[in-house]
Amino acid sequence: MSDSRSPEVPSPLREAWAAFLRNRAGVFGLAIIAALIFLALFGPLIYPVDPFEIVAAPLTPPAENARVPFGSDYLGRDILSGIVHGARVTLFVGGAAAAMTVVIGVLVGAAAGYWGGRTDRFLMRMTEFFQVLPALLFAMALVTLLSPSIPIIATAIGVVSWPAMARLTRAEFLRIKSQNYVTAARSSGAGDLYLITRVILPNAAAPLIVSTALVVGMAILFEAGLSFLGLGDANVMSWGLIIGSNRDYVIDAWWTVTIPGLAIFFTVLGLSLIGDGLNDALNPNLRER
Amino acid sequence: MQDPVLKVDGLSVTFRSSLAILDDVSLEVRRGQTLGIVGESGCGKSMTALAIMRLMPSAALKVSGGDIRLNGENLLALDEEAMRAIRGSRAAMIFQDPMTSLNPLFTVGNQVGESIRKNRQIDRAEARQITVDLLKAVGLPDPERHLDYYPHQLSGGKRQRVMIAMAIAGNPDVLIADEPTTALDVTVQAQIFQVLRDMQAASGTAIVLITHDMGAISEMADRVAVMYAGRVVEEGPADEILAAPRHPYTRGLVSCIPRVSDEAFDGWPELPVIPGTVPDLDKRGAGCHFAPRCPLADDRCAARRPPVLQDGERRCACWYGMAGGPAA
Amino acid sequence: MTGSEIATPSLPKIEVCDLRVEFPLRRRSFLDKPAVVHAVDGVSFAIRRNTVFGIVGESGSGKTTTALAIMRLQAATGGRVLLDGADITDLTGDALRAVRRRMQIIFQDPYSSLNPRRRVGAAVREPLDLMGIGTSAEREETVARLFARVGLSPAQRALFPHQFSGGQRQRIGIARALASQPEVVVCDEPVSALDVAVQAQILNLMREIRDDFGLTYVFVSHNLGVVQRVCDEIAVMYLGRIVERADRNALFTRPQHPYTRALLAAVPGRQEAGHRAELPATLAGDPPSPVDLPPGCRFASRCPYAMPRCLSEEPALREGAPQHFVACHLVNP
Repeated sequence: MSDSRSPEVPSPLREAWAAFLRNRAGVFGLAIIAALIFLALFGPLIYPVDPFEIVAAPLTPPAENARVPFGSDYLGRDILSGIVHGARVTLFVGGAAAAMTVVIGVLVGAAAGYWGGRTDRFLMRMTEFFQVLPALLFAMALVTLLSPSIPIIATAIGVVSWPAMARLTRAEFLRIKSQNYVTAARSSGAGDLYLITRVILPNAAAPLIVSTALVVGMAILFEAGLSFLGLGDANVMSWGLIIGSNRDYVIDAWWTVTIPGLAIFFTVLGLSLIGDGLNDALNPNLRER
Repeated sequence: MQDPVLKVDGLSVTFRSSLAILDDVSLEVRRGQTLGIVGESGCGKSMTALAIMRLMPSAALKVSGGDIRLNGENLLALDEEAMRAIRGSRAAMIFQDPMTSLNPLFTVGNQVGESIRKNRQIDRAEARQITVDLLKAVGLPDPERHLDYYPHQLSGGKRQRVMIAMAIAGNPDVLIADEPTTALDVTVQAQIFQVLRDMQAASGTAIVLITHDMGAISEMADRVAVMYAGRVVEEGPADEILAAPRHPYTRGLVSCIPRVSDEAFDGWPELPVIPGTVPDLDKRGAGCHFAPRCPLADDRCAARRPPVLQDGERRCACWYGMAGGPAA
Repeated sequence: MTGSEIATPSLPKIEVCDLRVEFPLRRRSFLDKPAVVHAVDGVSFAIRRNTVFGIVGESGSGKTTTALAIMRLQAATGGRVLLDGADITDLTGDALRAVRRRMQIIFQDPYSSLNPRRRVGAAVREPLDLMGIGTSAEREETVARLFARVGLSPAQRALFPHQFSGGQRQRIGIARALASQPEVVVCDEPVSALDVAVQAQILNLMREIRDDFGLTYVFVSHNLGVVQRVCDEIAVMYLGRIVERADRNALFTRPQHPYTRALLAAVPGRQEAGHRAELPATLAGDPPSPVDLPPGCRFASRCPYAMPRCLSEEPALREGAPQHFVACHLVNP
């Protein structure tokens, strides 16, 4: 053939990674989240103050007492310690809820999109049922009925957020299912499992990965919301808990809610920027030029 | 001699100011005539059309030379607002895919009516009457009923008729048709060609027909321009060029397309081919772009751009063209 | 009839008897009568081994659906498909897999027929992997050989589809179809998405591999010029039915059915030879909807020669001249 292109090619993953690195906002988001993960893993070792211990006068403003650089809450607990120790819980809730969302959503969406017909109709009615549930009320009810522990909270968030993922997965499966390379694999004797996991899912992955990043951010916000309403786990320090337990003192002690609020804000911002960057990086049509 | 309606002279378009997409393209079409532009994809056919309409798909594409005159007026000198007034009125365009060229959210009557009202100050009732007349002119049966249809309720052939109705609503001097029948079935294609011919006979509109189908050229075109890698390699009266192509590329194109023939066949004959593919933009040398695929090419062809030789109504850009190399 | 029967030379490679494919349409409400699209409505033919059988027709004629149903990639709602005399219509599981190895497909669109996330070498190897043919090293070697055979460099196996031109992708598609050493290859508009100059290159390649591999082709196309050169026998389809079936030269020089004649007359660029007059003005309009099929001949609504009988009684596909089948009351009263 007249075409003489170089045979060495980066894999699509490496190409996407290179494209992601060219997106400054995405890299900034990644830096935020990397710092947060570092904080969650090693923060308690570097800053071992117990977040539940009363170490200063209640409602000490930031930068007044060296023992509590970010100030103290209404009981005199260290807010910086709460941020450091709460990072782990915040990330865990976000990660666990997102994992649940992805597992249920992708399974349901893939089955509905791949098999279609009656399976599709049944699964989609079920998805719609969960989608019309008022998410916050349902999660509140679930947490109240069971116990306000972190795994239950994560589960509650997962239960209310999978329908969107299922619908997205289904739409992608419907689109890709009709592509000829799927028929080609079928004509070579590929079975359902092979087609779903090896042919269709990899091609559907880009939008699913992007929306997973957003689901993590949403789950963190959700956990903060539940804690704010007093439905968090009072025995485990989280950013939401700091905000929730100090909500009566917002007027007098702005730092008790602003500082954990900023932590949540930057985390969600970081995740959104990553999602945005991934969207551009994984979309070959945007990448070409 | 009558002045051409549309005259493109030495038009060059560059990508990122270095790569030549169109290279010294000259064309003209007279009133009531059809100019066919043929070539493979990547030859610059569609880019020529878009450049004439000043609808460059990317800011990286710039006209770097030449001019485009519509009834003597240089379109390249116009500002965007003046150009907008010309599009759809004095110069109109129809595309290959009538599905994506029509807005799916509005009815046929609405869309054709809008294109009429854009050019003329008339009320809805009048526009509706003109719309019905236009739809009748493009051979849409029962036009009143079709006014309230949405694009998805129409077949491909009917959609293309609606597109033509919209394009001729402003009574254009020139209609550019970019592969108007490629997506259609052959019996429908014949109908669409008939519509275009009838329209042209009635209004005298000049047509620029962009196609890859030599059959369409022989059926529709008075003159034909053969493009290769951004240049016009041969141009002249369509029947003469189809009967006796001079440029090796034209010869290859005419012979490698299997046309329905009256002879009998036995087995599966090997088809004549043009080897290779159109070179990428960044791999076009200084000489003749067709040289790497050309059976006649020598060192001179690869090194130096062939001269454009004029012979009566015909011109050909080939070192061997007018000498008449071995027949196809 | 059993599958173990030794194939005799006179036995057709493929036999299709009264094949039907219906698609249920979505009902607007549960009160509506369930509507059905008759995509393929009682189609029968036989394909001799090592020949090319052409199916031509316009969009909606059912030509692609017929081809997919032969391969069992589209479920038939009626009729039989026989491969070497063995009924494959109801095969499932391993038996179906074994048949699939013997029949492969080349698609029209070289852009959607390759998985964009998989290296093209892996795409060509996929049938071997799925069918468990050979060891891993043997498969790689087969793939490299196939790349060379279709005119690509074996080193290009490591590239991804978007790095190839349309013609090159179609070469890859052909290599993929050849990987399992099939006997029958269904070609669904194999060159119509390609540039004119590339079409001839691909057709010549298909010609060579047919001779090398001893293939039988089912060639679906709307391009009559290509079909005339490539196919030995041709079936013309209109709205799910075969209206005419004949040897290539008989079909092109002595077309009988008014639809076939209209198709040939509509090919652009034939008017100078006096064919243009053949295109009847009444061929205006589009085919009727395949949902509400009229009784009688399906072509009657566009046929310039339609008689009262054509509107009430559907013509059967009958042999007029030897081996020349036409479904028309005018031709076979």
